[in-house]
Amino acid sequence: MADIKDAVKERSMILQKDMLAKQFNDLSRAQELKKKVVYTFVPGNLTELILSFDMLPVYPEINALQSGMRKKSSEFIRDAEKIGYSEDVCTYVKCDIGMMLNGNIGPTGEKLPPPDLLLLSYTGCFTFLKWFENLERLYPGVPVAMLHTPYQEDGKITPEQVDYMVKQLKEEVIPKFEQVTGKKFDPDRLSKMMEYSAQSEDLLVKILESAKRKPSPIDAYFAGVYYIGPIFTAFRGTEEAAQYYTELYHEVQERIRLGLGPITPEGEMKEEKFRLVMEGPPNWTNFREFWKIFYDVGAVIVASTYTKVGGVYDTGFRHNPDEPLESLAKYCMGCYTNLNLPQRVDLIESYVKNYRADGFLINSIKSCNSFSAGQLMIMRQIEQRTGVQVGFIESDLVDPRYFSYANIKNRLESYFQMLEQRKIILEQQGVAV
Amino acid sequence: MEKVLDDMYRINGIHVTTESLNKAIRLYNTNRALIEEIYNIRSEYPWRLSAVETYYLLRAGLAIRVEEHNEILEQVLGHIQKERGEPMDNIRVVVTGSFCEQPPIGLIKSIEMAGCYIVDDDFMLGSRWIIGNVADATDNPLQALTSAYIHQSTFSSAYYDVGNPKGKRLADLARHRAADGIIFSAASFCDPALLDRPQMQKACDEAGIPHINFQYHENTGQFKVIKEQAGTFSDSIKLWV
Amino acid sequence: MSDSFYTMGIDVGSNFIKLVLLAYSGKPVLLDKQTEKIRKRDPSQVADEMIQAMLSRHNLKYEDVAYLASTGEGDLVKRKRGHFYGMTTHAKGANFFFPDAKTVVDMGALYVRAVKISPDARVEDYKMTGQCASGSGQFVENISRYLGLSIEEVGEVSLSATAPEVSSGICAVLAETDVINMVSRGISTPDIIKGIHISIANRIIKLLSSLRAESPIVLTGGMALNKGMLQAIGEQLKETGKQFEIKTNPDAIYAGAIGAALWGGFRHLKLKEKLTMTA
Repeated sequence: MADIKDAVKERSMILQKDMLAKQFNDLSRAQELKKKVVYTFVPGNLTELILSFDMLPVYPEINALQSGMRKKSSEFIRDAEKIGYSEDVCTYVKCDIGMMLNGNIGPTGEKLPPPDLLLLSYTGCFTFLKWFENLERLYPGVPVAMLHTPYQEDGKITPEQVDYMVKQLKEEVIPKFEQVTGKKFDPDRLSKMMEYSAQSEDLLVKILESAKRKPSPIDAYFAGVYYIGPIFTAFRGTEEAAQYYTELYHEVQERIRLGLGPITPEGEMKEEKFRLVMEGPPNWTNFREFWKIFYDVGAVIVASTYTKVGGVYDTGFRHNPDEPLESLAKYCMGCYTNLNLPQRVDLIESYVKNYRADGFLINSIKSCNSFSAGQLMIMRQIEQRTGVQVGFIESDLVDPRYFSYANIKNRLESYFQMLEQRKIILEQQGVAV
Repeated sequence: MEKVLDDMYRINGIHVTTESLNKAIRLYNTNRALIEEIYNIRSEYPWRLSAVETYYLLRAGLAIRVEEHNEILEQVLGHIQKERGEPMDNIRVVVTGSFCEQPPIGLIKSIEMAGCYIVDDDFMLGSRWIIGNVADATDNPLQALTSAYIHQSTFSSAYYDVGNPKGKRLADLARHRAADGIIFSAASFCDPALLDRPQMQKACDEAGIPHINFQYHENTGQFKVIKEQAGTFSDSIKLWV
Repeated sequence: MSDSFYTMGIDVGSNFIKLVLLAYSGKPVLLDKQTEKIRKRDPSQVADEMIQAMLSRHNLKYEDVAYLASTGEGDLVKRKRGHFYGMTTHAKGANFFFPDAKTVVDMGALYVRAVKISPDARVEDYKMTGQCASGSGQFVENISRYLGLSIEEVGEVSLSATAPEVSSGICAVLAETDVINMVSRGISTPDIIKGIHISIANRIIKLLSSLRAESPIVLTGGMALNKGMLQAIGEQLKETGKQFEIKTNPDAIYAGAIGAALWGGFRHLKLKEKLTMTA
């Protein structure tokens, strides 16, 4: 998603960087390229469908997190608060609105084009709806396509729910796409893209599951957020994405062969001391500092839920060329934040067990209700079911005012100490660790 | 909705019939009509029933059978149709933004004590969600409920309705109730209410309606600041408008 | 004359209730005033009794009063026409004493509040002392009780100080400990009291500076009558070189009640006008 500056660069990183550069360059020249621009969201995105109409997607929350990493978010949030947005609301929204108030300059310094279509396909987060109501006011007259994703309240996807979503795709979304682009829907092209999607998804799962090894060759959270970049955003269903994941997969295989630990901004992690499962998005404004607290003590994240917000693939779901619209529907409903709390607990429990984790840690986001609601319950349940050491820290997505480095470092240090002690006790008891 | 009926059957073993559903629709039609009547009388004679009393009255409806609630509402209606209490020189406000997490009673009290008659609000919005009656004699009551939900519901930040802007509807409500001002009172961290607020405030400005805003927690215990804000708001309207 | 009428203003504080009666016949005139210490009684009851007593002193009934306005903890007043916020009424009261007043300092039991006002007594800006009670009347009272003085004596006693001892003045709890220390060190009562007055005076001056207050500055509220306090403010102003002109009125404690009664009169006329317009 963003480049790791001053760090050892692998080929896959360069590939991803080039892909992103081209994407933002295309966006800045959208008019010249005669491409229509659609603003939409990551969780439950319809990237293949968008690309099959030759449209260019813009993901506001990616722009917001990029602004956070580039230390721009503080100013953007302030500007949004100046025009009346509360201190309490989602900081992605404020950051995005602030960016638009400041000329809509994207992460690469190029201006982002205004939308030709607002595609509100939101999953698991009610605020997306409000976000788009605000965007509609900023871009009056721009057509809106809305796709409603039913929440998995009963912990399963029913055939009626799939029908309901396919009906919306056919009757609402696709006609709007046709109207905006003047192109006809091409089901064959969509199916072809889904082959690439499934291919990338297979590879991504293998890459993420490599962390089951001891020691793990990857960090599935801090580096994981880079690994999910292409598939969560504008590239799922493209040949480039499939190439990227092939490359990344080979790199990880190579690391395994050489017995190397995860890559960090300061080179390889030498010794794996703690294996953790992480719940919640990372903080973007102090991402590197936050990461460093972990790799400095040899803590590696072996599995995370955040890398499932744009699609849960490790439980078997793949985009299916034989039923493209149905699989888009199932994809949307299956995204992590659309799961109910028991499903989330089950998933996390399986991570703790299958990835042989020593601990479970929650980074609770102050302004993100859809992620944070229920987290204390999740923590208690995981503690009961798995017996691992659990921990809880608080920060925010892109508002630096809510990232207190000293506080977080203190808390994590005592958490690591507890892990250490537990390890000693377990060793004394003769339990293999 | 059929699924909800199935779930309910699983809990209490009762099969819902067209007849029983129509009967329930009728009872709730009456319930909403009585509540609206109380709001209408309060709008004209706000001193006859305080906002806190009104709130208790509606809130109780969630805990008792609708038949019993209707009886109580009728009794209250009988009381407030006659003169009761004494009018005060207060301003008239609409309170908005408290539709989900309910405000503490102390907050409603503080607004009133600071010299504001609350002539409409969105507390307990669920009990007033459908405007008018739901068809109560059809063969398909589920259809009737669905249709009422889509076509007859009120406005709220919990609702996506760009084609029918909430800001304008809020300003219309304030005018309809002859309110002197609007108080935006949202729960902290309530994205729906707080993300709508700038737009709704703009609509108030355009309509020339004064407004203030504050945030609360369900367990807020200190109302000094809120009293102060509502008090200065009331004074500024009474003395300088 | 049809536009002669009465208004009343009642200011419910945490220690005292202040009540005034104004007679309007053209210009408003202060007809009667009364202060009552609450002393662990039901304030609501005390207020009621005070109102009744004042009305009967003038052979009036409740209905004869055009507007009874409350301020302060006004919700404790059962029967009233309207309520005004404390800042608004003190502004009006100060303006009544001195029509050229530009700033009001309300020195109440629980806080000190500095308010900038316009020539027509509109609140333009304000600053308040923080949550802490060490700059307030209640604090002075607590200390004087500890030292065996009545609140009325405090001002006089303060004037006879020779070497005032200034306490930390940051927090009421710490300051009270300070005072206990001073007593055991043999510091004289006047010097302790004066020290406290000085530390409060400094807080007020700070408040005024941060508000960018303009003169004349009118002191209102209970502490405005305390001679020791006034002297301390004067001395500290000299010391800090601030050019503030400070004024006070013997009825300063009634500023809130008078302001409420005046705004009541204003509203009465306005509502009457509205009524004739719609009639």
